[in-house]
Amino acid sequence: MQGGTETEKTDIFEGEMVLSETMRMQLAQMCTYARIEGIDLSEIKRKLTDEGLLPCSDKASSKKALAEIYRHVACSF
Amino acid sequence: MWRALFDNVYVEERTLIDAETVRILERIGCAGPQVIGHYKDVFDKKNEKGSNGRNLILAHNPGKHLYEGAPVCQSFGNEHFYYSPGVMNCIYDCEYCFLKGMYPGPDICIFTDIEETFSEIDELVKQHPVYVCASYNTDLTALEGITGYVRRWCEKAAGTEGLSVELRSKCGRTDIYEDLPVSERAIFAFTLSPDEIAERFEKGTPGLDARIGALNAAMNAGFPVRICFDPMIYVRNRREIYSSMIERVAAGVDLTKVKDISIGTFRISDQYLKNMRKKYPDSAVAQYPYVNEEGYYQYPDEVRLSMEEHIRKELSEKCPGVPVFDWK
Repeated sequence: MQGGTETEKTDIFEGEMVLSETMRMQLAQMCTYARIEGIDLSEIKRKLTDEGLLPCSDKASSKKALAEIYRHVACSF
Repeated sequence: MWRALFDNVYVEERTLIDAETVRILERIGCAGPQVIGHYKDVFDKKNEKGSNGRNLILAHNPGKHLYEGAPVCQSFGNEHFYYSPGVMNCIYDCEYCFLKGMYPGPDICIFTDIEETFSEIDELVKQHPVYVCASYNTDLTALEGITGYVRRWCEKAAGTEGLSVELRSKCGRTDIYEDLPVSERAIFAFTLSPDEIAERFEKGTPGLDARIGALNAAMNAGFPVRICFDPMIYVRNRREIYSSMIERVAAGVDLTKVKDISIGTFRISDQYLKNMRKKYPDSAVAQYPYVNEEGYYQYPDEVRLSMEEHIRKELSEKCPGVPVFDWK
Protein backbone atom coordinates (compact mmCIF):
# COMPACT_ATOMS: atom_id res chain seq x y z
CA MET A 1 0.00 0.00 0.00
CA GLN A 2 1.74 3.05 -1.26
CA GLY A 3 1.09 6.52 -2.54
CA GLY A 4 -1.59 8.88 -1.32
CA THR A 5 -2.81 12.32 -2.25
CA GLU A 6 -1.64 15.11 -0.04
CA THR A 7 -4.98 16.82 -0.06
CA GLU A 8 -7.15 13.87 0.87
CA LYS A 9 -8.70 14.27 4.28
CA THR A 10 -7.76 11.71 6.89
CA ASP A 11 -9.61 13.64 9.60
CA ILE A 12 -11.70 10.70 10.63
CA PHE A 13 -8.59 9.02 12.03
CA GLU A 14 -7.06 12.22 13.41
CA GLY A 15 -5.55 11.63 16.83
CA GLU A 16 -6.16 7.89 16.59
CA MET A 17 -2.75 6.83 15.31
CA VAL A 18 0.91 7.77 15.42
CA LEU A 19 1.85 8.09 11.76
CA SER A 20 5.05 8.68 9.86
CA GLU A 21 4.74 10.75 6.69
CA THR A 22 4.71 7.57 4.57
CA MET A 23 2.00 6.02 6.71
CA ARG A 24 -0.02 9.23 6.51
CA MET A 25 0.22 9.11 2.71
CA GLN A 26 -0.89 5.49 2.71
CA LEU A 27 -3.87 6.33 4.89
CA ALA A 28 -4.72 9.25 2.62
CA GLN A 29 -4.75 6.94 -0.42
CA MET A 30 -7.06 4.53 1.40
CA CYS A 31 -9.37 7.40 2.33
CA THR A 32 -9.43 8.61 -1.28
CA TYR A 33 -10.40 5.19 -2.57
CA ALA A 34 -12.96 4.71 0.20
CA ARG A 35 -14.60 8.01 -0.73
CA ILE A 36 -14.79 7.06 -4.42
CA GLU A 37 -16.17 3.59 -3.74
CA GLY A 38 -18.55 4.71 -1.00
CA ILE A 39 -16.85 2.64 1.68
CA ASP A 40 -17.94 3.76 5.14
CA LEU A 41 -14.78 4.68 7.05
CA SER A 42 -16.66 5.52 10.24
CA GLU A 43 -17.95 1.95 10.31
CA ILE A 44 -14.38 0.68 9.90
CA LYS A 45 -13.19 3.00 12.66
CA ARG A 46 -15.95 1.77 14.95
CA LYS A 47 -15.01 -1.84 14.27
CA LEU A 48 -11.32 -1.24 14.96
CA THR A 49 -12.16 0.64 18.14
CA ASP A 50 -14.37 -2.24 19.31
CA GLU A 51 -11.53 -4.65 18.62
CA GLY A 52 -9.12 -2.52 20.63
CA LEU A 53 -6.97 -1.64 17.61
CA LEU A 54 -7.76 2.07 17.91
CA PRO A 55 -6.65 4.42 19.34
CA CYS A 56 -2.92 3.68 19.02
CA SER A 57 -0.23 5.04 21.29
CA ASP A 58 2.81 4.20 19.16
CA LYS A 59 3.92 3.58 15.60
CA ALA A 60 4.01 -0.21 15.88
CA SER A 61 0.37 -0.51 16.90
CA SER A 62 -0.53 2.13 14.32
CA LYS A 63 1.02 -0.05 11.62
CA LYS A 64 -1.24 -2.90 12.69
CA ALA A 65 -4.27 -0.62 12.62
CA LEU A 66 -3.27 0.71 9.22
CA ALA A 67 -2.98 -2.82 7.85
CA GLU A 68 -6.43 -3.59 9.19
CA ILE A 69 -7.91 -0.46 7.61
CA TYR A 70 -6.25 -1.50 4.34
CA ARG A 71 -7.83 -4.93 4.55
CA HIS A 72 -11.27 -3.40 4.99
CA VAL A 73 -10.84 -0.77 2.29
CA ALA A 74 -8.86 -2.60 -0.37
CA CYS A 75 -9.72 -6.28 0.03
CA SER A 76 -13.32 -6.45 1.17
CA PHE A 77 -15.22 -6.87 -2.13
CA MET B 1 -17.27 10.24 -40.53
CA TRP B 2 -13.65 9.86 -39.41
CA ARG B 3 -12.84 13.55 -39.85
CA ALA B 4 -15.47 14.44 -37.24
CA LEU B 5 -13.51 12.54 -34.60
CA PHE B 6 -10.71 15.07 -34.68
CA ASP B 7 -10.58 18.76 -33.92
CA ASN B 8 -7.62 19.26 -36.22
CA VAL B 9 -5.43 17.19 -38.51
CA TYR B 10 -1.70 17.91 -38.45
CA VAL B 11 0.94 16.53 -40.78
CA GLU B 12 4.69 16.77 -40.34
CA GLU B 13 6.20 18.55 -43.30
CA ARG B 14 8.57 15.69 -44.12
CA THR B 15 5.61 13.30 -44.08
CA LEU B 16 3.44 15.19 -46.58
CA ILE B 17 4.52 13.25 -49.66
CA ASP B 18 4.34 9.77 -48.12
CA ALA B 19 1.93 7.44 -49.86
CA GLU B 20 0.53 6.47 -46.45
CA THR B 21 -0.09 10.11 -45.58
CA VAL B 22 -1.93 10.73 -48.84
CA ARG B 23 -3.98 7.57 -48.34
CA ILE B 24 -4.92 8.44 -44.76
CA LEU B 25 -5.89 12.00 -45.63
CA GLU B 26 -8.10 10.66 -48.42
CA ARG B 27 -9.72 8.17 -46.08
CA ILE B 28 -10.66 10.81 -43.55
CA GLY B 29 -11.64 13.33 -46.19
CA CYS B 30 -9.12 15.95 -45.18
CA ALA B 31 -7.84 18.12 -48.02
CA GLY B 32 -6.05 20.77 -46.02
CA PRO B 33 -4.18 19.52 -42.95
CA GLN B 34 -2.10 21.88 -40.89
CA VAL B 35 1.60 21.44 -41.54
CA ILE B 36 3.93 21.18 -38.53
CA GLY B 37 7.64 20.64 -38.00
CA HIS B 38 7.50 17.86 -35.42
CA TYR B 39 4.64 15.80 -34.01
CA LYS B 40 5.66 16.73 -30.47
CA ASP B 41 4.83 20.37 -31.22
CA VAL B 42 1.18 19.29 -30.93
CA PHE B 43 1.20 15.91 -29.20
CA ASP B 44 3.12 17.08 -26.13
CA LYS B 45 1.27 20.34 -25.63
CA LYS B 46 -2.18 19.02 -24.84
CA ASN B 47 -1.92 19.53 -21.12
CA GLU B 48 -0.82 23.11 -21.52
CA LYS B 49 -3.91 23.91 -23.52
CA GLY B 50 -6.15 21.94 -21.21
CA SER B 51 -8.41 20.98 -24.10
CA ASN B 52 -10.39 17.76 -24.15
CA GLY B 53 -10.56 17.69 -27.94
CA ARG B 54 -8.56 15.20 -29.96
CA ASN B 55 -6.23 15.90 -32.85
CA LEU B 56 -4.86 13.54 -35.45
CA ILE B 57 -1.19 13.80 -36.28
CA LEU B 58 0.63 12.09 -39.14
CA ALA B 59 4.36 11.88 -38.59
CA HIS B 60 7.56 9.92 -38.98
CA ASN B 61 8.80 7.94 -36.01
CA PRO B 62 12.09 9.52 -34.97
CA GLY B 63 12.79 6.79 -32.40
CA LYS B 64 12.83 3.03 -32.34
CA HIS B 65 10.29 1.16 -34.42
CA LEU B 66 10.30 -1.90 -32.19
CA TYR B 67 10.71 -2.14 -28.42
CA GLU B 68 11.24 -5.18 -26.26
CA GLY B 69 8.15 -6.06 -24.20
CA ALA B 70 7.84 -4.86 -20.61
CA PRO B 71 8.04 -7.42 -17.78
CA VAL B 72 4.35 -7.04 -16.90
CA CYS B 73 3.32 -7.90 -20.46
CA GLN B 74 2.55 -11.44 -21.46
CA SER B 75 4.89 -12.97 -23.99
CA PHE B 76 2.83 -16.18 -24.48
CA GLY B 77 5.99 -18.22 -24.42
CA ASN B 78 7.69 -16.18 -27.14
CA GLU B 79 11.31 -15.55 -26.31
CA HIS B 80 11.77 -12.56 -28.61
CA PHE B 81 8.82 -10.37 -27.78
CA TYR B 82 8.53 -6.83 -29.18
CA TYR B 83 5.91 -4.18 -29.52
CA SER B 84 5.48 -1.60 -32.22
CA PRO B 85 4.67 2.00 -31.35
CA GLY B 86 3.40 2.56 -34.90
CA VAL B 87 0.34 4.42 -33.68
CA MET B 88 0.40 6.33 -30.42
CA ASN B 89 -2.83 6.58 -28.46
CA CYS B 90 -6.25 5.08 -28.77
CA ILE B 91 -9.66 6.06 -29.97
CA TYR B 92 -11.19 4.45 -26.90
CA ASP B 93 -11.12 6.08 -23.50
CA CYS B 94 -10.40 3.30 -21.02
CA GLU B 95 -9.94 4.73 -17.56
CA TYR B 96 -7.35 2.15 -16.55
CA CYS B 97 -5.23 2.25 -19.68
CA PHE B 98 -1.51 2.85 -19.23
CA LEU B 99 -1.66 5.21 -22.19
CA LYS B 100 -3.39 7.69 -19.85
CA GLY B 101 -0.24 7.81 -17.80
CA MET B 102 2.09 7.64 -20.75
CA TYR B 103 0.80 10.33 -23.10
CA PRO B 104 -0.03 13.94 -22.23
CA GLY B 105 -3.45 14.02 -23.90
CA PRO B 106 -5.89 12.23 -26.22
CA ASP B 107 -4.25 13.14 -29.56
CA ILE B 108 -3.60 10.22 -31.87
CA CYS B 109 -0.31 10.13 -33.74
CA ILE B 110 0.05 7.76 -36.69
CA PHE B 111 3.55 7.07 -37.88
CA THR B 112 3.35 6.76 -41.63
CA ASP B 113 6.77 5.16 -42.04
CA ILE B 114 5.45 1.68 -41.29
CA GLU B 115 7.84 0.29 -43.90
CA GLU B 116 10.71 1.20 -41.56
CA THR B 117 9.17 -1.07 -38.93
CA PHE B 118 8.88 -3.85 -41.44
CA SER B 119 12.53 -3.38 -42.47
CA GLU B 120 13.59 -3.79 -38.84
CA ILE B 121 11.53 -6.95 -38.61
CA ASP B 122 13.18 -8.30 -41.75
CA GLU B 123 16.57 -7.87 -40.10
CA LEU B 124 15.45 -9.42 -36.81
CA VAL B 125 13.86 -12.52 -38.32
CA LYS B 126 17.20 -13.34 -39.89
CA GLN B 127 18.48 -13.82 -36.32
CA HIS B 128 15.54 -15.43 -34.50
CA PRO B 129 11.74 -15.77 -34.48
CA VAL B 130 10.02 -12.49 -33.75
CA TYR B 131 6.75 -11.91 -31.95
CA VAL B 132 5.32 -8.41 -32.29
CA CYS B 133 2.37 -6.83 -30.53
CA ALA B 134 1.35 -4.42 -33.28
CA SER B 135 -1.58 -2.92 -31.43
CA TYR B 136 0.20 -2.20 -28.18
CA ASN B 137 -0.10 1.60 -27.92
CA THR B 138 -3.44 1.81 -29.68
CA ASP B 139 -6.36 -0.23 -30.98
CA LEU B 140 -5.38 -0.77 -34.61
CA THR B 141 -8.57 -2.58 -35.55
CA ALA B 142 -10.67 0.34 -34.32
CA LEU B 143 -8.56 2.63 -36.50
CA GLU B 144 -8.54 0.36 -39.55
CA GLY B 145 -10.87 2.69 -41.42
CA ILE B 146 -8.21 5.37 -41.16
CA THR B 147 -4.90 3.54 -41.31
CA GLY B 148 -5.36 0.23 -43.12
CA TYR B 149 -2.55 -1.00 -40.88
CA VAL B 150 -4.33 -4.18 -39.81
CA ARG B 151 -4.22 -5.26 -43.44
CA ARG B 152 -0.57 -4.22 -43.71
CA TRP B 153 0.36 -6.27 -40.65
CA CYS B 154 -1.63 -9.27 -41.85
CA GLU B 155 0.13 -9.09 -45.21
CA LYS B 156 3.48 -8.80 -43.50
CA ALA B 157 2.79 -11.75 -41.21
CA ALA B 158 1.54 -13.89 -44.09
CA GLY B 159 4.68 -13.18 -46.09
CA THR B 160 7.30 -13.39 -43.37
CA GLU B 161 8.46 -16.73 -42.05
CA GLY B 162 9.48 -16.41 -38.40
CA LEU B 163 7.21 -13.48 -37.63
CA SER B 164 4.11 -13.67 -35.41
CA VAL B 165 1.92 -10.64 -34.94
CA GLU B 166 -0.70 -10.03 -32.27
CA LEU B 167 -3.43 -7.50 -33.04
CA ARG B 168 -5.29 -6.84 -29.80
CA SER B 169 -8.60 -5.02 -29.85
CA LYS B 170 -11.89 -4.18 -28.20
CA CYS B 171 -13.41 -3.28 -31.57
CA GLY B 172 -16.76 -4.75 -32.56
CA ARG B 173 -16.24 -4.54 -36.33
CA THR B 174 -17.09 -7.77 -38.09
CA ASP B 175 -16.68 -6.66 -41.69
CA ILE B 176 -12.91 -6.57 -42.10
CA TYR B 177 -11.78 -10.13 -41.49
CA GLU B 178 -13.12 -11.89 -44.60
CA ASP B 179 -10.98 -9.74 -46.89
CA LEU B 180 -7.73 -9.94 -44.96
CA PRO B 181 -4.94 -12.34 -45.96
CA VAL B 182 -5.33 -15.22 -43.53
CA SER B 183 -2.27 -16.57 -41.79
CA GLU B 184 -1.48 -18.61 -38.71
CA ARG B 185 1.04 -15.90 -37.94
CA ALA B 186 -1.52 -13.11 -37.51
CA ILE B 187 -3.26 -13.56 -34.17
CA PHE B 188 -6.35 -11.52 -33.43
CA ALA B 189 -6.68 -10.96 -29.70
CA PHE B 190 -9.90 -9.67 -28.16
CA THR B 191 -10.08 -8.05 -24.77
CA LEU B 192 -13.36 -9.15 -23.25
CA SER B 193 -14.82 -7.42 -20.21
CA PRO B 194 -18.09 -7.70 -18.36
CA ASP B 195 -20.54 -5.03 -19.52
CA GLU B 196 -20.47 -3.55 -16.01
CA ILE B 197 -16.73 -2.96 -16.38
CA ALA B 198 -17.01 -1.69 -19.95
CA GLU B 199 -19.75 0.78 -19.03
CA ARG B 200 -17.89 2.10 -16.03
CA PHE B 201 -14.27 2.05 -17.15
CA GLU B 202 -14.05 1.57 -20.94
CA LYS B 203 -15.70 4.64 -22.38
CA GLY B 204 -16.51 4.44 -26.07
CA THR B 205 -15.92 0.70 -26.41
CA PRO B 206 -18.42 -1.82 -27.73
CA GLY B 207 -20.19 -4.09 -25.25
CA LEU B 208 -19.44 -7.75 -24.71
CA ASP B 209 -21.86 -9.06 -27.36
CA ALA B 210 -20.31 -6.88 -30.06
CA ARG B 211 -16.80 -8.00 -29.13
CA ILE B 212 -17.89 -11.64 -29.18
CA GLY B 213 -19.36 -11.02 -32.64
CA ALA B 214 -16.05 -9.62 -33.86
CA LEU B 215 -14.12 -12.50 -32.33
CA ASN B 216 -16.33 -15.00 -34.14
CA ALA B 217 -15.89 -13.10 -37.41
CA ALA B 218 -12.10 -13.31 -37.09
CA MET B 219 -12.26 -16.97 -36.14
CA ASN B 220 -14.65 -17.84 -38.96
CA ALA B 221 -12.35 -16.11 -41.42
CA GLY B 222 -9.64 -18.55 -40.36
CA PHE B 223 -7.46 -16.46 -38.06
CA PRO B 224 -6.09 -17.76 -34.77
CA VAL B 225 -7.96 -15.99 -32.00
CA ARG B 226 -6.85 -15.14 -28.50
CA ILE B 227 -9.20 -14.13 -25.69
CA CYS B 228 -7.84 -11.67 -23.15
CA PHE B 229 -9.52 -11.32 -19.79
CA ASP B 230 -6.99 -8.69 -19.01
CA PRO B 231 -7.00 -6.39 -17.19
CA MET B 232 -9.51 -7.63 -14.65
CA ILE B 233 -10.66 -4.82 -12.41
CA TYR B 234 -11.46 -5.12 -8.72
CA VAL B 235 -15.04 -3.95 -8.14
CA ARG B 236 -18.00 -4.78 -5.93
CA ASN B 237 -19.72 -8.03 -6.98
CA ARG B 238 -16.66 -8.92 -9.00
CA ARG B 239 -17.27 -12.66 -8.70
CA GLU B 240 -20.80 -12.42 -10.02
CA ILE B 241 -20.03 -10.13 -12.92
CA TYR B 242 -16.95 -12.04 -14.07
CA SER B 243 -18.75 -15.39 -13.74
CA SER B 244 -21.65 -14.04 -15.73
CA MET B 245 -19.27 -12.81 -18.43
CA ILE B 246 -17.63 -16.24 -18.71
CA GLU B 247 -21.08 -17.80 -19.09
CA ARG B 248 -21.88 -15.44 -21.95
CA VAL B 249 -18.54 -16.02 -23.64
CA ALA B 250 -18.92 -19.79 -23.36
CA ALA B 251 -22.40 -19.53 -24.85
CA GLY B 252 -21.32 -17.27 -27.69
CA VAL B 253 -17.93 -18.66 -28.71
CA ASP B 254 -16.75 -22.13 -29.68
CA LEU B 255 -13.98 -22.14 -27.09
CA THR B 256 -12.43 -25.32 -28.45
CA LYS B 257 -11.31 -23.28 -31.47
CA VAL B 258 -9.64 -20.52 -29.49
CA LYS B 259 -5.83 -20.49 -29.71
CA ASP B 260 -5.29 -19.46 -26.10
CA ILE B 261 -6.56 -17.31 -23.28
CA SER B 262 -4.81 -14.59 -21.36
CA ILE B 263 -5.79 -13.57 -17.86
CA GLY B 264 -4.44 -10.79 -15.72
CA THR B 265 -5.40 -8.30 -13.08
CA PHE B 266 -4.67 -4.60 -13.47
CA ARG B 267 -1.04 -3.57 -13.04
CA ILE B 268 0.86 -0.50 -14.13
CA SER B 269 4.26 1.13 -13.80
CA ASP B 270 4.62 3.50 -10.84
CA GLN B 271 5.32 6.55 -12.98
CA TYR B 272 2.25 6.03 -15.15
CA LEU B 273 0.04 5.57 -12.09
CA LYS B 274 1.44 8.73 -10.57
CA ASN B 275 0.42 10.64 -13.69
CA MET B 276 -2.99 9.01 -13.76
CA ARG B 277 -3.69 9.86 -10.13
CA LYS B 278 -3.03 13.51 -10.83
CA LYS B 279 -5.23 13.48 -13.91
CA TYR B 280 -8.08 11.42 -12.48
CA PRO B 281 -8.65 12.20 -8.80
CA ASP B 282 -12.07 10.50 -8.81
CA SER B 283 -11.15 7.33 -10.66
CA ALA B 284 -11.53 4.15 -8.62
CA VAL B 285 -8.97 2.40 -10.81
CA ALA B 286 -6.37 5.14 -10.49
CA GLN B 287 -6.93 5.73 -6.79
CA TYR B 288 -7.03 2.14 -5.53
CA PRO B 289 -4.29 1.75 -2.89
CA TYR B 290 -2.11 -0.66 -4.84
CA VAL B 291 1.04 -2.33 -3.63
CA ASN B 292 4.26 -1.50 -5.42
CA GLU B 293 6.40 -4.43 -6.45
CA GLU B 294 9.64 -3.58 -8.19
CA GLY B 295 8.28 -0.44 -9.78
CA TYR B 296 4.89 -1.81 -10.77
CA TYR B 297 1.67 -1.14 -8.92
CA GLN B 298 -0.66 -4.08 -8.59
CA TYR B 299 -3.39 -5.46 -6.37
CA PRO B 300 -2.23 -7.07 -3.14
CA ASP B 301 -1.72 -10.83 -3.45
CA GLU B 302 -4.91 -11.53 -1.51
CA VAL B 303 -6.98 -9.71 -4.15
CA ARG B 304 -4.91 -10.62 -7.21
CA LEU B 305 -4.81 -14.34 -6.50
CA SER B 306 -8.46 -14.47 -5.60
CA MET B 307 -9.46 -12.84 -8.89
CA GLU B 308 -7.09 -14.89 -11.02
CA GLU B 309 -7.96 -18.18 -9.37
CA HIS B 310 -11.65 -17.48 -9.71
CA ILE B 311 -11.43 -16.87 -13.46
CA ARG B 312 -9.02 -19.79 -13.90
CA LYS B 313 -11.48 -22.13 -12.21
CA GLU B 314 -14.36 -20.91 -14.36
CA LEU B 315 -12.27 -21.39 -17.49
CA SER B 316 -11.09 -24.87 -16.52
CA GLU B 317 -14.72 -25.91 -16.40
CA LYS B 318 -15.75 -24.26 -19.67
CA CYS B 319 -12.70 -24.94 -21.85
CA PRO B 320 -10.35 -27.43 -20.18
CA GLY B 321 -8.11 -27.93 -23.22
CA VAL B 322 -7.32 -24.31 -24.02
CA PRO B 323 -3.95 -22.95 -22.80
CA VAL B 324 -4.38 -20.18 -20.23
CA PHE B 325 -1.54 -17.69 -19.74
CA ASP B 326 -1.22 -15.23 -16.91
CA TRP B 327 1.20 -12.36 -16.56
CA LYS B 328 2.89 -13.36 -13.32
